Amino acid sequence: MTRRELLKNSGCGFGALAVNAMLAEQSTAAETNPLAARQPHFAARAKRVIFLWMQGGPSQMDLFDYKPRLAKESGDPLPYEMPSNRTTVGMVYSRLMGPISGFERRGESGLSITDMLPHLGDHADDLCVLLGMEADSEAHAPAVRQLHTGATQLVRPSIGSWVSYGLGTDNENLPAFLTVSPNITGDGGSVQLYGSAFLPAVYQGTAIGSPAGDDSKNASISYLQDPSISPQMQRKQLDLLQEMNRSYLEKLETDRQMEGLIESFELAFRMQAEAPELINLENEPRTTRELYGIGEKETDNFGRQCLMARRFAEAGVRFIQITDNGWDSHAKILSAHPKRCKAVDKPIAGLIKDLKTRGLFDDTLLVWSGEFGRTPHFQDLDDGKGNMDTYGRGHNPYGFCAWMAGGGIRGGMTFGKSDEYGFRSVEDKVHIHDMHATILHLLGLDHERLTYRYSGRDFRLTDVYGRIVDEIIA
Amino acid sequence: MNCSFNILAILFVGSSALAQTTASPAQLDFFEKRVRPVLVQNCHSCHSEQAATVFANLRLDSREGVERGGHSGPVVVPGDPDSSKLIRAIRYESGLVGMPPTGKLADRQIEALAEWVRIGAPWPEQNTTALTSEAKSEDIRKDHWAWKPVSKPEPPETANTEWPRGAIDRFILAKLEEKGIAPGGDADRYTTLRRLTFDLTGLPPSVESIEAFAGDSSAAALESVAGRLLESPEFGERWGRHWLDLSGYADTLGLGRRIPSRHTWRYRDYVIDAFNSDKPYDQFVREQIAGDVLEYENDREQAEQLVATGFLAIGPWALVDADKVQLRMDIVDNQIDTIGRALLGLTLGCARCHDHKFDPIPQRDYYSLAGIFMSTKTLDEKRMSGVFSDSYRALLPETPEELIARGESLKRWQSEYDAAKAESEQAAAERDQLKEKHEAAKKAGPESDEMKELAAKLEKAAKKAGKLKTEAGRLLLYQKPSPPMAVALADRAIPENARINLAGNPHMLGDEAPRGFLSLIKTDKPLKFAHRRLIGFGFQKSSGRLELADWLTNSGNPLTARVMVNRIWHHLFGAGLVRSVDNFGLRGDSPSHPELLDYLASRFVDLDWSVKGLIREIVLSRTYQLAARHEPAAAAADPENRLLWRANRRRLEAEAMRDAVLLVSGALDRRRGGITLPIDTPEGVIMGQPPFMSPKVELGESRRYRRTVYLPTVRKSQLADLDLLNLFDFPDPNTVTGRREVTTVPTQALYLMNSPFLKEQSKLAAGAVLEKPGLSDNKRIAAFLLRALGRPAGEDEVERALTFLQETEKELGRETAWARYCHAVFVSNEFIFRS
Repeated sequence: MTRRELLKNSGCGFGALAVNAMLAEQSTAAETNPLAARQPHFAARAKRVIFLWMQGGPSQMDLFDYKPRLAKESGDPLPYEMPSNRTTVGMVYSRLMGPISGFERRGESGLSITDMLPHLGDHADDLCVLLGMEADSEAHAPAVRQLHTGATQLVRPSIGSWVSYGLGTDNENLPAFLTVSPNITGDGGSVQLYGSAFLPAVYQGTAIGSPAGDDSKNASISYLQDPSISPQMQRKQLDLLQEMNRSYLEKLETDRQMEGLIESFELAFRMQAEAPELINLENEPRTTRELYGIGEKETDNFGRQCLMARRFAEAGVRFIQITDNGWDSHAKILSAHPKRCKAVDKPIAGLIKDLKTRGLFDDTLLVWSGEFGRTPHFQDLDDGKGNMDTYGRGHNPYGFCAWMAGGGIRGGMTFGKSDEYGFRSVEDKVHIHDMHATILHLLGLDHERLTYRYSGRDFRLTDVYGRIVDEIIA
Repeated sequence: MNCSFNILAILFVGSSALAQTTASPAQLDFFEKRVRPVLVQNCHSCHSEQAATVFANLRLDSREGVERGGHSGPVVVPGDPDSSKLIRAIRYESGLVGMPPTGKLADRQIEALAEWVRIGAPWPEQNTTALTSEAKSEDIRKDHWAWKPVSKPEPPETANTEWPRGAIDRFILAKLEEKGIAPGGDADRYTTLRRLTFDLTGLPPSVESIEAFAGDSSAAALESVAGRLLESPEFGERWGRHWLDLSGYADTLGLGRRIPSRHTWRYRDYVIDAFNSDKPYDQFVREQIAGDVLEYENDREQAEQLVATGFLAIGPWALVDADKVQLRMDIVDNQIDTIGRALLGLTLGCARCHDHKFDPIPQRDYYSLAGIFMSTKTLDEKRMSGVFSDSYRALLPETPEELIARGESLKRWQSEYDAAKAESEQAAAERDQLKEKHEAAKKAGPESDEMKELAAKLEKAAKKAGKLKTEAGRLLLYQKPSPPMAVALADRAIPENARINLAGNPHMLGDEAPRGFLSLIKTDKPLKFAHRRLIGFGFQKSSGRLELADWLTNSGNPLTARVMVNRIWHHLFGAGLVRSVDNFGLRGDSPSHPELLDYLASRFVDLDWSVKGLIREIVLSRTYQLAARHEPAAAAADPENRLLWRANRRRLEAEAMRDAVLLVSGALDRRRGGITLPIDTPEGVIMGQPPFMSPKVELGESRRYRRTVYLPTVRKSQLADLDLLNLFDFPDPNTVTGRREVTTVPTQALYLMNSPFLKEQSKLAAGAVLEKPGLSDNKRIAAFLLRALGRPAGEDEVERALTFLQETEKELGRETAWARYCHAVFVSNEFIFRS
């Protein structure tokens, strides 16, 4: 049978047409479907990533990095020099500030965790806490870009795009990279954070939720459905459209791009059927929803994000990002941080537990991080006139914390060390580039080999940097 | 950038004199990856040839330097790190000055250096790659097609003398004959007209022009249509946008925030006008590089030339960042990279950190160009401290009439703003009063109904106050009449040479590089920098941009014309003769028709750099008018159609798609040019310094249906109202994009099926179709298809449409059923492709 006959005989099932077309043209399968699942460079430890971005920069001294000396000397003048190129405000009256809440040793490993995260503490033995994190910029925009793309000032593909480019998708009805309620409004927020830059656009993240970062309760994929028409009527319209397309294509004999377009309408139609179901959390049993804190005022928003993340993970999405906004506590950290902790504590604990119950934890890599951390000293924006309640902490890229858990990660450990105040990382430092290299490694991708040629050069997520942190790999 | 150190290491035939043994490639690889970067970043600023003063006379940038050591002798004992001073110093051992003095290296780096000494401190034989050695680079320069002088080839003789209509066709046919391929058939009249109209104006042909053209099969008919389209103002709107893809143009500034910019539209209009007036391309380039220092005859010309510098002045600058040194250098880098890729087809950005890996562009040349832009003002230099920066803006000359008109509109605005502000302040006062009352009540006693009522009132008042404040802010930020300004370039008061940034780090400076151009291109007359230049009424020191503009457009520079004619070809054929339109370097593609490329380049110069003139010659060729039909034999010989045996079918760009829908539905607003902002801001303008635009900003009613090129272009994704652009590969305004991606993703199909835009336009289109009285449905369908697809409808199509309408009318109603039909046509392949 010739290709042309194939096209003619395939009747009205256009999904079948595309399959036939691909069979007839195996060699171009990758070309016609750049999202086809691909083999990693070597055996992977994790199949997918859930990236939990704590926008604004959580405070390491208050969450995971307990510093007795800082607690003891709270209120004393700064014992360390500030970096010379640093411009900052509210430093005149600055003093050291001890941890804002208590610490507890949790799990068999005895990991130090703030008492503001009691539920997460239940999973202490699963966490690998990185206490020697480093980033290059102390301003949000460049730091956020670095966390997501590796580069501080240039336009580069985001890590999720690199992962989709490297591995393709496991579910042909869904995009490979989803980001729930992305932040594009705040300082540093941008579609660039899930953009593909010079990688083909098919690798860009699909946003669930309006770009304005609304409550995840209303999160959906743009233009997913047209409520003004019934599915039957729309199918009729689509049949008409595809018939027009098909007879046009027949006249042309062959055109891969148009075939791709025809198939994309079918995929869209399938997505239209599958995605709303996936996003709709009302179908989850009440007990599961409660596990994530859905329905409780403080935890509802992030709980929904976490539960969606689990559902996407289960459905075969490669890279899922969820975001909690508002960790940038320059002022009133005493009330702001507990609020943020509360918002994410139960949802994250629920996510870990749920992933385990479903056997997904071992091949899902969880990464929790801000774009940087905070200073051990307080920042006083009221010129010494306010009281302690109004104090906050400044930005700190010189030392901060992050944690990883799940696929391929050794749980119940800390790695890296900061100085006695938690200001600078001093031992076993992990730079953002190193974290990126490690994430790719766990997915079976060699960060030095995952390259894309653009403008005459081979680009990598990690540029010329990146060390795989072997010490934390199980 | 990915500096492939391992590849480099293989290039070296290395042996370590230090260890007196041959170093293995793996060892050298280790050196290049783990050791050299540490030395370059942490030691070379004091211990290398580039250091201003070589401290302790110790140099760590060559094998000899390391062997010799410093004042107190060798610092490395191969094989024995513990006895090596270098290692002891970086370990901060007592008794030695800890190195580097700025702070201890990371443990990993210390270990790497110690390991390097342990394995015998291997050092590659050569310090530079073979590529950059001068003799070699001269050979490469002479051999590579793109850097040779432009020749003037004669069109070749062809066996078939019937087919070619002119020189271009002869070049194409000769290549086809070489491969034994016969050119395909000609396109039909309808296809030709639709193709030509889309290519030249970005719009489908009107029904009148279709009917006229179909009825006149003479050769003159095509010539007259081409002439008419070239002279239409839509030509500049189409081709100006092609150019804007190469610039950093957008209506917002800033990389991290969307900072509204009310002045950048002038650059967009300048570009459109330049294409419409067929400004000679060399002049166009000169104005965009050095418009602020060119001679002018009157105010209008001066303003135009100032605006032109927006090409390099408007770009993705990180305006919210404290590191100003980095910021300035990143801007310079972007400007060099833009000139390189947009004008010269060179990836100059590669030479920022090291000599270009593939093309003979030494790092020194990069910094020679960098000096020119270091001496140029792009940012407002009064605001270079703290976290925020701002772009420089030049005031444009105003006529007395304009001045008076502005005074009046300022008065109007002031009263409007004062009123809004007063209203906002009053609302705020009311809110504060209520707040006080509420606080007092809270203190006074337990929860009461009265308190609840008070709380509700307070909430309402707070909302109102917020809304009014936003409104006042919007008036202030977006609507205040300001004197005409342009985001432009200027020379800085004191020009300076750049110093080489070691490993691209602007905080680590090496040798000074005198300002100059690329050694790659030898122009026919040597150019010298003027130290001072007469500007207006006085002398000003000169950055060198005028000389750069001369160098770019010098007849000895083969790239400027070659790159531009290739872009024109790319836009007309869907692929350039050189496919990598922004890269003519060694890693770019080779031209499919090198002689034709040179013929066009020399013809372009002979036509006095007339873009319209060249386009006219190309579109009148028979090659341009080929059908897109598949020919099995030809396809087997040339599957990618590189030799152009047929036309390339391609999807319309996002703008053409949107504009075509608007034209067919009858909604298109053809007003030209003018200010892009203000736009409606329902959710608020966020105040503070600098202002940034809410993501929920909407397109105002007044510009909803304008041609896409006149809508706001926004960094960090286009407005949600223009998701069509976000989805259909509209390029990121932060990048130079000579060749747009064409991607096919399911979210596009979702948009086409379900977006309010297409539904609305389909309804309008259906309304227009049904409005005409006394037509049969068959006639209505045929009329719509002619308008939408530019060709008469076939019987089967009409039948199919009628069946659909019959089947859906009952459930949807007549109007909606028709709208759904029009919708299907709008999103069909035939509509969104140009054949």
